[in-house]
Amino acid sequence: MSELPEDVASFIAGNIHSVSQLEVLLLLRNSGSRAWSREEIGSALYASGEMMATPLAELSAGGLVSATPPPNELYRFQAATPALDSMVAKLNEMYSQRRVAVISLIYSQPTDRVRTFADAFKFRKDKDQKGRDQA
Amino acid sequence: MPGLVYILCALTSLACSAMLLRGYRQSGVRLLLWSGLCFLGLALDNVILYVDLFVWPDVNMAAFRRLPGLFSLMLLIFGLVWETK
Amino acid sequence: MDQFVMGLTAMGSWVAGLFFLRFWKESRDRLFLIFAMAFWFLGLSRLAVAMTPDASENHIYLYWLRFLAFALILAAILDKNRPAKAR
Repeated sequence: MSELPEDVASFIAGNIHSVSQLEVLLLLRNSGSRAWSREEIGSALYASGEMMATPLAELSAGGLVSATPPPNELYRFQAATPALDSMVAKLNEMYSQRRVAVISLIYSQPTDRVRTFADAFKFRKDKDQKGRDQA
Repeated sequence: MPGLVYILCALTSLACSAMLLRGYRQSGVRLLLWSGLCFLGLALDNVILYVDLFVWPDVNMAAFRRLPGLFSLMLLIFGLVWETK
Repeated sequence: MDQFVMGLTAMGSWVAGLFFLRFWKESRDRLFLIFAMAFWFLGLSRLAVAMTPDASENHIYLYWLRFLAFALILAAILDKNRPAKAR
């Protein structure tokens, strides 16, 4: 399996906790300055709006996404620093070229192994396996 | 009644095993493989117990009836120690 | 030999429970707390068998312990799938 560049790998290790979170991030980044509501993001990713809450919270806490104040929260990509911005660009590239390596890395974080264990007991899976799930 | 309990335990174990092994197939996270196998073994453990007590009550399987349970737990602990930080 | 194997299994259950307890502390996911208790009950049931003079799983208390363990596991699974919050 191809190895990811060191800086991307450690960015993922520190900041990306789930494949959903990554897909939300990249969706927002690739749509320029468009602002999305939680439901719109959810339906673009074949998930419910509520399931987007945690990834969005993590991303805005990480300085990657900005949110307008409630009640009508709209989210758009906004990197807090230029370094973050270029990192997300790299991440985008890595995800399209080496998807398997990126996904494996996300799943292999120690806390995420634990989370994956707990998630195994959900009957209806989180949209992490869009379309590929044949259960 | 006790027999029913062991069958229920076996079924629960089997369900856990199925969920974990499915999760392993989807995510490749090996912890799920070891724990899935552990629950499979625990299901077997319950079945053997049931068979020992109710199907063949006169045959004493004690010598090896406890081994599946032990091996299952050994698998689980191996997975827990090896696959998590 | 039988006692030895049961002792090992009880110890294994104790350790597994400890791991689940740690996972609960790390992830705050209730499932792990319940699994920890379930594995400890399994270990307890082995201990109880060892302490009973006529060691036989037919003894009424013994299978309740085991039943409790697996009921806890079922409860954890159901709890995880409650429609209220997909957590």
